[in-house]
Amino acid sequence: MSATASTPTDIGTPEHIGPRRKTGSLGKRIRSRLTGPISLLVFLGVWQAAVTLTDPDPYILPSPGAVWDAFILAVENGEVWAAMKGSAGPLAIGMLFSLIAVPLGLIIGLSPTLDLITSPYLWGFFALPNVAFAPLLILITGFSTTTSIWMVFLSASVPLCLSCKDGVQAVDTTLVKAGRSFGGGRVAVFVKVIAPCSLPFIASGIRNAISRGFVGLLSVELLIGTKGTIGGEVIQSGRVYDTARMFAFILLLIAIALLLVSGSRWLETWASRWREEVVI
Amino acid sequence: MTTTLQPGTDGRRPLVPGAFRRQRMPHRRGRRRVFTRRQRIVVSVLNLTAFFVIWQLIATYGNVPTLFLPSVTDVWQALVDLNNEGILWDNLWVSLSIYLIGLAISMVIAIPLGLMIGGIPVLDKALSTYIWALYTLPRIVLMPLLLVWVGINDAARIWIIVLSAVPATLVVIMEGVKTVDNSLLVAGRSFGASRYQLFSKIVMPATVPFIAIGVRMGVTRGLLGLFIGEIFTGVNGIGYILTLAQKTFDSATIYAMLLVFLFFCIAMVSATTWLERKVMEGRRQLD
Amino acid sequence: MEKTPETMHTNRSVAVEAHDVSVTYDRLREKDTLIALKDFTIEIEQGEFLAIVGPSGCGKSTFLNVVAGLTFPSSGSIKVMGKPVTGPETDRAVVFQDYALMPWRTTEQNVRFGLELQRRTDSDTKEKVRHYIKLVGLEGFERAYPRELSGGMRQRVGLARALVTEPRLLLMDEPFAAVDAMTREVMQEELAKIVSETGQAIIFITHSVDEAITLADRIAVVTNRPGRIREILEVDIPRPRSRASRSMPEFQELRDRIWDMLSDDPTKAVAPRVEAIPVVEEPPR
Repeated sequence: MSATASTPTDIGTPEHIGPRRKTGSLGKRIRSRLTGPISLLVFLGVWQAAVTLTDPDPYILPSPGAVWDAFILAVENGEVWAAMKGSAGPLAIGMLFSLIAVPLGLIIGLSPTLDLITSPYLWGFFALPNVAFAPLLILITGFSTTTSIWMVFLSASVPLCLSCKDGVQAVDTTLVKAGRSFGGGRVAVFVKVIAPCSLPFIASGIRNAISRGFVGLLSVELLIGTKGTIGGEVIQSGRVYDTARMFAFILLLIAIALLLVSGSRWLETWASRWREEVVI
Repeated sequence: MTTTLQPGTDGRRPLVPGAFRRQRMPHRRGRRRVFTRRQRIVVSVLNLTAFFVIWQLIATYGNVPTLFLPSVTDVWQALVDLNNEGILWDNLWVSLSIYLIGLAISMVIAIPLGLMIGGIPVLDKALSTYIWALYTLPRIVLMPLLLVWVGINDAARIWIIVLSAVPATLVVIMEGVKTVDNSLLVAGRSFGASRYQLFSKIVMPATVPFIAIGVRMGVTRGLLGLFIGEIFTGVNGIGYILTLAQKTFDSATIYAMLLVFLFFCIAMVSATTWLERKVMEGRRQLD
Repeated sequence: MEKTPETMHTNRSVAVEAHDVSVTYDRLREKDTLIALKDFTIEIEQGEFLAIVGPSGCGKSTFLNVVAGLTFPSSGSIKVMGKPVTGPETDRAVVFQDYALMPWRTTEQNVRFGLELQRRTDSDTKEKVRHYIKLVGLEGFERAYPRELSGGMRQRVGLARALVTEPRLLLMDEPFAAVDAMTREVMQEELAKIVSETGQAIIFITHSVDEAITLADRIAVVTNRPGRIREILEVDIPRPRSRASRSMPEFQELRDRIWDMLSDDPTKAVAPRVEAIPVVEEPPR
């Protein structure tokens, strides 16, 4: 999303200066657990109040109740389920393909020559917001699932590759030296020193890749608007002026996005648990 | 000298990307290559030339449909055509001005708000969850909403830029204010500083680096917002050219626009990085 | 330790033979060649404790790297246990100044690290690891990560990691430089005790004259740029040496001699710019 590399050491990006980790008494922990739900309730309250007080056209702003009804209706229709399946498929396939960036990134990190050769292309791809590729991909592959898969792959693999590369390049030289001093060959040093040392970077790369891949998927879905995908349902509802249903699907998207992000954060924290500064 | 052999004399070495590359010890099998500046430049030039040559060769002799991969010369021709028809610069200017307006609005909102939210705990407690949620959210999902609320026009694009840039800048500044060393505040208070003085004499200057980083974040996030806006509302600007090309299956123009996009991004980001460094240098001179 | 009959036969009591070892580096940015080490000639006997003292940047660590097989000399010959050095071997182990512990490994796993790389893990490994952890006084910290240990404790892990491979030559590169002064004293005493039990030859790099005199059998004083051996001194202060030994006249006399050598070094303040010398690309085989 940003044009700066998001690595665990890059304290310049806010991913790493997030809300402070709350530790402490049980009461405090419960309170910190409750902030999310309470904020949600307040948000819903303000929304309902705005609807009651200003009484807008339901096309512009439907009430929370209407959105909920639209959501339940869509669940009962099976449309929600179908849309989730329709979006999850391309996302999963694209992400699986983009895992090839992990070994590639590690190899590029190991070889300064390869790094020098590949870096202009990788950075070019990285600097360009991945939405920019959508028109080209749609032109080439048409309105199909292939477009989504390609888009997820392109959006996710490049940041992943860059993180893995950074991970290898960040390995402490003295650790490598220690490995070599015990007679470790290239393979042994890679397996015992470099790979575990880059693990937090790989995890952070995967987190980044998941969110970027999701955005890539959304951009294609929202641009094409095929039925049977979440983004497509949003656009379809918009076309028939069913704003309540559109809101329902947008909120579903937001919920999925937040879930994906927090899930991958957890993965990252787990992978970097040995580090002094815990990345949140 | 020995510093190159045993890099960590100060205890634990910070994990700096690129540190591994800088090691200069002979390997058991061959040495690890290190490049001088000149070598880097030469390799980069050769590299890019090779890239374009290979692209051209594949496109010409590779039996690839032109729709997938137009040749370099076609892409260049598309750029020249756009220029001759007067489409390129007008639309580029439209996009740039929308971007700059959106960015200016974002900074005017985000910088004071970030300082305020960071400095006033009540506001922080009340708002930070929403700001973080907005920051984490893929901004592209907001686009359909904006199209409903604002319509397909310039305002929608400015809105999406603001919605993309503000949260990014806000969170950096907000968290930056919180990092202000408490002992500085205690020292200020010991000299009898008022709340306002504490803020203007201590918190503000201490947050300057974070403001700079926040602006940079805002610039890159704002670019993303601009592209989202351009692609969804193709009435004028770069988005117009793209929509037009897409309708006429003119892939050379799309490739050309991607290159223009790339230069646009690089220009914006390097301008900000340059500005950031200037700010930091000015700050260092003050010290 | 597998001894071939050949090495048993030749130089059985000599652990390290360095003959006219020089190391030079090409510096890309400065576009010149740097002589890190010049004509180092020294012999170290089995079981001997040799300290190398010198100002920082005098090439003493380079020498250690050469012996460890991590750097290759541009000229001269280096033999360890009668065999020319072609790379790291199982008969030596290095203790690093900045510990170089793997932060994702616990104490126990870190101590195992060397054995794993040397592919020498077997059913006894666990027992051995326990033994050496106990020897360096880290019982009860087997499951701690490096970040949870103090500097002194981290270096104990580093020491145990080296000792567990049962090297015949222990190379210590300013091992206590990053440890606070009080811990340092304790560590020195314990090191002396431990090596009196395990009995391998040791090359100990330090820039502390007192530390060298307290620990070593012989001290090589190295002067700056290009690094050469100024003199090799015998230390005949009876062991065990304690803090009380430092007030002995022999100790003080030795310290003064070393300090004189270090401070009248004529090249001390001279920039390291030297005439170009071809650099050896490939290690001798």
